[in-house]
Amino acid sequence: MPELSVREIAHRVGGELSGEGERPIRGVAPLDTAGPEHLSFVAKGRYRSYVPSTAAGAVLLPEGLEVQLPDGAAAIRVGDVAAALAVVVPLLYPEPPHAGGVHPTALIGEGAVLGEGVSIGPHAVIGRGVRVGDGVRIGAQVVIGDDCEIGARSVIDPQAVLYADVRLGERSFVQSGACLGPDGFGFAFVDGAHRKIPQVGGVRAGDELEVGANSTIDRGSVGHTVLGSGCGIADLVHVGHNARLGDRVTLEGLAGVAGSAVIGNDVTVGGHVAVMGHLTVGDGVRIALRGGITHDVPAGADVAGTPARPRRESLRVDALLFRLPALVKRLQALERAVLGRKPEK
Amino acid sequence: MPELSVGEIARRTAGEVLGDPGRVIRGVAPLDGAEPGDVAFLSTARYLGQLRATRAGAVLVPRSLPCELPEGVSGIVVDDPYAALVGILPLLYPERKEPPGIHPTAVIEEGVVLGEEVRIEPYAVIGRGTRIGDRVRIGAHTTLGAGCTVGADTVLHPQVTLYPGVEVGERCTLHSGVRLGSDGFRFVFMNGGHRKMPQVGGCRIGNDVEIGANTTVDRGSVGDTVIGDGSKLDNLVQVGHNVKLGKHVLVVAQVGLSGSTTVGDGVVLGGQAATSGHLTIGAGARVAGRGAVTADVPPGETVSGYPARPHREAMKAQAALFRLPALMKRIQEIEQAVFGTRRRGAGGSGPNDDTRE
Repeated sequence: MPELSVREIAHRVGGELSGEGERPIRGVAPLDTAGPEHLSFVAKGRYRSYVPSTAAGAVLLPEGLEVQLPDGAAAIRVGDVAAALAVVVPLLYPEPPHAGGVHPTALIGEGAVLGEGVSIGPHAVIGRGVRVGDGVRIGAQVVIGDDCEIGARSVIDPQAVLYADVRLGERSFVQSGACLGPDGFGFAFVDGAHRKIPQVGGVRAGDELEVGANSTIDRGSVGHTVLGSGCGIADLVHVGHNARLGDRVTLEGLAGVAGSAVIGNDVTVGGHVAVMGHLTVGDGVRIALRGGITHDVPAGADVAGTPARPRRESLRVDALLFRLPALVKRLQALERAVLGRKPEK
Repeated sequence: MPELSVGEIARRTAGEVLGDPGRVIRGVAPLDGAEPGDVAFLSTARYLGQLRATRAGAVLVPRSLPCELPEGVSGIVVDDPYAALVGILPLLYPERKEPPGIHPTAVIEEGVVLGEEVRIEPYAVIGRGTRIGDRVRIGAHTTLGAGCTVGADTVLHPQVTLYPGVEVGERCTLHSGVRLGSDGFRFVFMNGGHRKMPQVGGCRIGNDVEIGANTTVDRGSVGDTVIGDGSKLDNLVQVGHNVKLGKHVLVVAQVGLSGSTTVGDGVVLGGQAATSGHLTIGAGARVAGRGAVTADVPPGETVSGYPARPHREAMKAQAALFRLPALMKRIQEIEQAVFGTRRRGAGGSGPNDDTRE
């Protein structure tokens, strides 16, 4: 079990230490359950009330937050608490060593090329001509179709499925049950039935893509479905065929992006959002939880609601909605005064 | 590598050629990614800009959309470019035919009946007494419970699960992660806890049905959950127990259908739409994306919104909603004219100030 002194942690995160620096820290825990061997943190001001009673050995605090720490708890003040945690957590919780090599029950297709230090778990099935980069880890029962490419140091968790012709960049992470490259939903109504439009494109993703559990990313119908670098996709998300995501796009849980939608760089898509097909969402757009995108969204916009509108406008209308009963009463009073009659209900 | 001339494509799609019918086409590509050896397609007016700049050798254009083709690009005028793709794509991109056979790691339990030329991939498990039709493909790690039936020419991609007794028709496609016949969500609150209601019904899928990745269809609690012939379900759809889906129904991604709802033939459910339980959605009805159906929908109706209403009505209400701030101001002005500024919120028989609510 690794341990770091409080001083060492402060040094690693470039924070300002006040209090006892020699105490050994062995883990990270929330304020209310932390003990003296733990580092804790205040991510948001709303948790400050837990600070005075915490038993943590040290607490990461945002610069400028005024709180009284209990005696014995050291403070490490940093500009960005989340960024500091991202540095410290891997040091205290190193990944367990994994059995390298190809498990004897794994099946490797003809012409597949495996890089150095690749590990492939039990019952995994790797198709023909698949190229697996150095240090890639493929979990148990993963199925990878023909001609896929998986960049170096990527991790594919158990029971994920990649259809044929899916290409992932380096350091990608695909979680269990995720399905990359199934057919897009493309049909044409001919002679009284929905006829399948063959889906002959693939999936092309940049480096550092993360795909959450049970999410689905369809292959392109004609041409590819394209995801940029550094995209983060949460659980149960759907990305339709021929969608194009820019770099560093995040899609939160249950979000859905329909076919041929074009999403710019650095777009944040909230949970359960829906983006209709063939639309363009500009760079840096933020779509609030459950937003429904029915029109193109210009770069930099902050939108909410269904159909999505500028967030301020949407919030204002939401607030007014709950003043409608009072508005009806005011209208009744006016009717009485002006028309001199009992108002209509 | 197969190839077709522009004239040949036009002949096969009942289209008319504008330009050179002799040009050779080897692939299909979107307008903005096409090369001179590709045929591209124009689906809607939205892509007219891309049409002007395309490098495609030929473009399938809809008869209904008059458009000008760039110099040197042939046109193939058709009724529906998507329908044309249905015929053309398999010719230019022939599917790799996998040989039949049972992988030695697959587990076939006793009493299983296999048709001719069946393909069973590694680590698949076929439960006792299950019947598999001719030319069926069962993908790696796909598991079929006991007593299932799978019709001829159906494809089950890797990691599909069929619970015991599920029936799947002919020429169906089930994508990875599909779960058919899992227990419905039904509990009875008894003695301080939610007690499980046994789910003893079945799950029947018709012919020519396609079901998208990670979609789930629950088994019936008592009686069956049914999906009719020719229906297509997208990814991540949830079909509750005892739902009856008619023929040729389209269900777009992330739709949720609560238990015992009946959906008529030819209905279209847009992405993330949801329906309450025990409703009837009439034949040919359309539910817009995100529509939340809380009451029966008559045949042929188009509904949208939450709760779903006739689409026009819902659109009008939406538009009016965003005029609320202006409406508030208009009422304030009238109040000022009628009561004078001082009287706002005076109480009694006067106007009620909304801030006092």
